[in-house]
Amino acid sequence: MFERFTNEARQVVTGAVREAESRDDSRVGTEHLLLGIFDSGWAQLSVLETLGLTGRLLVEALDEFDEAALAAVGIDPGSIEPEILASPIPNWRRRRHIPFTGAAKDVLKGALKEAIELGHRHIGVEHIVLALTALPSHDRTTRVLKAANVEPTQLRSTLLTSLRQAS
Amino acid sequence: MDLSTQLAAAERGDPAEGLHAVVVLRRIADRLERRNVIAARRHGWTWQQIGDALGVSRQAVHKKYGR
Repeated sequence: MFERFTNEARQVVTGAVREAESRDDSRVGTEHLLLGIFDSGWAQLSVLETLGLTGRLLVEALDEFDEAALAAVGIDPGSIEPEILASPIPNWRRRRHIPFTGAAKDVLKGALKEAIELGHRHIGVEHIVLALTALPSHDRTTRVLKAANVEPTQLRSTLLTSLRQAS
Repeated sequence: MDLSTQLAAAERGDPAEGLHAVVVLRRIADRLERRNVIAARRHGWTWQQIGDALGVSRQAVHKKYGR
């Protein structure tokens, strides 16, 4: 299904895999796709940045979610040896490839749908972003956007406006 | 939030936080395992000995960490 993806959109997907690997996650999820956007070389990244969304802010929000989840089951994140929490061992690469979550697959299919609805022949990063704004409220991406003070509906309308101005 | 509050939240239909805690704990366990498997190999442990210590088969450890 990737033949209609632009180079940048492909970069989002490969970047998402890299993010999942470096965070030691067992699946490539929607939040990794969101992170992948920031390293994709997408020309319209400023649309996200004007809303106050940066890659660094997202990583911080994800880390806070992790700590909150531990605290919720009574584990003080500060009590865990920092060496263990720290990023993976350099030069160590897992052998197994990481599968995508159902929701992440839905986002990629949703990007195709968004492109068709807009009458675009290619699937670009903008369509992935639009698909990411249509996720349910319990999805990690929806929660991380809200934690960064970005309403998914607001992101969607801002991006659509910017796309109309560009065309 | 203590454990009983957490379990109550899960039963109310908000298991998101508890499920996410499982993911974070697995990641911590994975990193702890990786560090120690690498250390054990440096100390000359066999895959069989590491598998026994982890409670998994020799093949499982080798498949995950062997080069």
